[in-house]
Amino acid sequence: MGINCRPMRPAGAAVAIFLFSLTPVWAQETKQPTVPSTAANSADLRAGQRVYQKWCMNCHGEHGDGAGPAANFLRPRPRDFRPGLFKIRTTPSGQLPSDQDLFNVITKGMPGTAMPDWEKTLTEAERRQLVPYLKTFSRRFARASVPPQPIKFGARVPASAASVAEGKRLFREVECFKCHGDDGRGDGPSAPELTDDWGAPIRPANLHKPWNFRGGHTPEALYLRLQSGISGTPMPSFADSLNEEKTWHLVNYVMSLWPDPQGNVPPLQVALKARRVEGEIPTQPGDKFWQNLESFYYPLVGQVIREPRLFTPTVDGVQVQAVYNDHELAWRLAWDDPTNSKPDSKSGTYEDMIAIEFPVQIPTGTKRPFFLMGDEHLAVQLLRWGSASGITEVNGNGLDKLQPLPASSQEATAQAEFKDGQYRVVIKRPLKTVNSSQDIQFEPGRFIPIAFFVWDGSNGETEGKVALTSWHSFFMEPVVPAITYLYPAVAVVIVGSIQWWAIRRLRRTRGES
Amino acid sequence: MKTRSWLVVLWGVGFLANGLGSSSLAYEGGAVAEKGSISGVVKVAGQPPVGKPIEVNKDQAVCGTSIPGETVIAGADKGVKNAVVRLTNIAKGKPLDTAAKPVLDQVKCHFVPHVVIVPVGATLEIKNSDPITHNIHTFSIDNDPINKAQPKTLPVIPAKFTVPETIKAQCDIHKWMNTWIVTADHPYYALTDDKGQFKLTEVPPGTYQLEIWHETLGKVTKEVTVKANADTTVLAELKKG
Repeated sequence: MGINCRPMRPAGAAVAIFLFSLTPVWAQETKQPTVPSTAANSADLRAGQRVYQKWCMNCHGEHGDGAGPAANFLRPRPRDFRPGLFKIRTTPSGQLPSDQDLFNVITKGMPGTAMPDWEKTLTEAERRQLVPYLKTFSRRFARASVPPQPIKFGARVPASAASVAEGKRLFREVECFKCHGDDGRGDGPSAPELTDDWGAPIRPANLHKPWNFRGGHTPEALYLRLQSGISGTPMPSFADSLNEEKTWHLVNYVMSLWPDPQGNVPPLQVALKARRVEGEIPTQPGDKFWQNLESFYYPLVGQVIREPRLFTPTVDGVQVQAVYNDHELAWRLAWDDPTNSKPDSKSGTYEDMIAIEFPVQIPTGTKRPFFLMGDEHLAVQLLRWGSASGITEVNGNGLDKLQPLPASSQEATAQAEFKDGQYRVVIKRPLKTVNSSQDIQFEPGRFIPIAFFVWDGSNGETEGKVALTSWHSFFMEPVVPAITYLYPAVAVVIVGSIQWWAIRRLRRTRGES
Repeated sequence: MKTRSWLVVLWGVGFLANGLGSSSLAYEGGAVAEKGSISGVVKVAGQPPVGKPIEVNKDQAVCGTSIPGETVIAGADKGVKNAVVRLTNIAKGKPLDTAAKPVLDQVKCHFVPHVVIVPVGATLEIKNSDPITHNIHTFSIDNDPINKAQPKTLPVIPAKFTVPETIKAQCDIHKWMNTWIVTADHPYYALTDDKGQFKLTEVPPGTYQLEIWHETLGKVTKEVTVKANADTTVLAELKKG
């Protein structure tokens, strides 16, 4: 009596639902006799099932067990609906979500995961039909006698400096840092051991990246996550330990960590600009010099073009700054990685790495090397820094054709620090090098292709298993020579002199006639 | 229309079958006229796989450097501590003590006791005696799951359960901390002591299924017959695997 993906006749659907209701679910021991409490009629259930089988089943599985064919490529894994544990709820800790909660997650999706927002794909009616069908996967819904009620709370306490400071104190008092880390980057001492209710490793949220918050990043969403917890994960409810006012202080503190007050991903700029500076460029990534310099954010994605692919990268963005002086260029790279990985072949852990990629020859036309570490015709140059190996200049004609330059050509230097779940590295290289056939020779005033690669070694990332960007543009702002300012003045003087001479001549001619 | 009603019928039957297949009827508590008892000992067969101590890698100032392993506790006589002994088919007997207030404490990053029996409807007092935050996270499906932070400012969390279930619970912050909450809908549940001994009292005469469950040694079921004013003794043996 197999149930397969083909559209079912009504009778088939009926048998299927019957089987679902008989299937022993999740925990072994079953108890109370149960009758569906949802008022959904069978036509709605059938319609919901049709939508589910068309759009949801590939990830969430035919039986709602979160084990669809695509599940193994996703992290976090798709939800297993059987235990009735739903992350994003407006209801108190331990309770089921409301129908509206389920509808909202389907509609809005879950940022930072593979769950898309379905409002563009499914009609509202279809999204509503899914709700009662999803509820058939867990017997908890059938048992609940009264519908769960949303948590009630008042207006947000204004985010004054005092409120943020109190939130920061509470962050330590109730020990949020144990998982989320001292600076909130998800690198706390308990973070490496956390698992979800199904035993799969799970990471605490990086509180600096609100665009990845699963339930959105409005103040009210944050309030609810703190009060109700995130079911199926280690995130507990603080309803018994934080009153309404304290919860708002904590919300205000978390929001103070964001790079943008609205919580949006920093927008892409036209080009990564390197400003010209006079004097030496500091080598220390912690130097104050870097604080006032413009910063550019590049989102990263897993490499899925060539084998071995990376579907679940750790690092999803890198913050870059660049400057140059009369003889060298410097880039400061900062990226969040909760672990400072130590290479260990037994556990499949590698060093953490980052690389900046350029074409060896600055292209004059539209032809550029393949962004994935070059191609057989056009070579790229990587300035690659590793937590164990340090800085190496590597040239590439493809992912499997990477060649470190000879020692005599290794002219790049780097300084790095790892603190509170963030790497900060300053990489420097002379503008011009001796080995001009193998090294890129930087020139101000030109748009130079640039790309980034980041590896998290403790996530098994090495070689082609990498988070990356495609080509962006790098632009060294040209220095305007002093003579440039002189030209207009000289031009004014010359034009003026000619006019004066012409007028004088004209007058003289008239006077003479 | 015909198909629809058939579906509704199937639906209902499915759920009822699912429920009835594995649940007993509601327990009825009251005065017990004739009383017998069951006492016994639970032992482990062969060499007891005694739990190894757990190395502590955080909060050592509070938790110490090592936590005793509690997955199996067995003495020289092979008596197993923390096995849950219960009757599975009793419908009538002494009343369930819903006024009881069993305690589950967290002391030096360690749950005390390691297994706690809680009558359905009674209040379990979850305590934190440590000056740091723990979180009590239960993995239940029939009862509402709990996952609550318990900072030092919150000494007690009361918890109630609605149906019998054997529930694993842990602290996520200190991953080694785990415990079992066994919720009971009748009073004939017992926990073995460090010699592996247990006793069920005020049992009405009759023939019962006695189930012995241990978190790592598994489950055995025995049939026992209880006579008025007499003690029935049981020796149960659990095997690893």
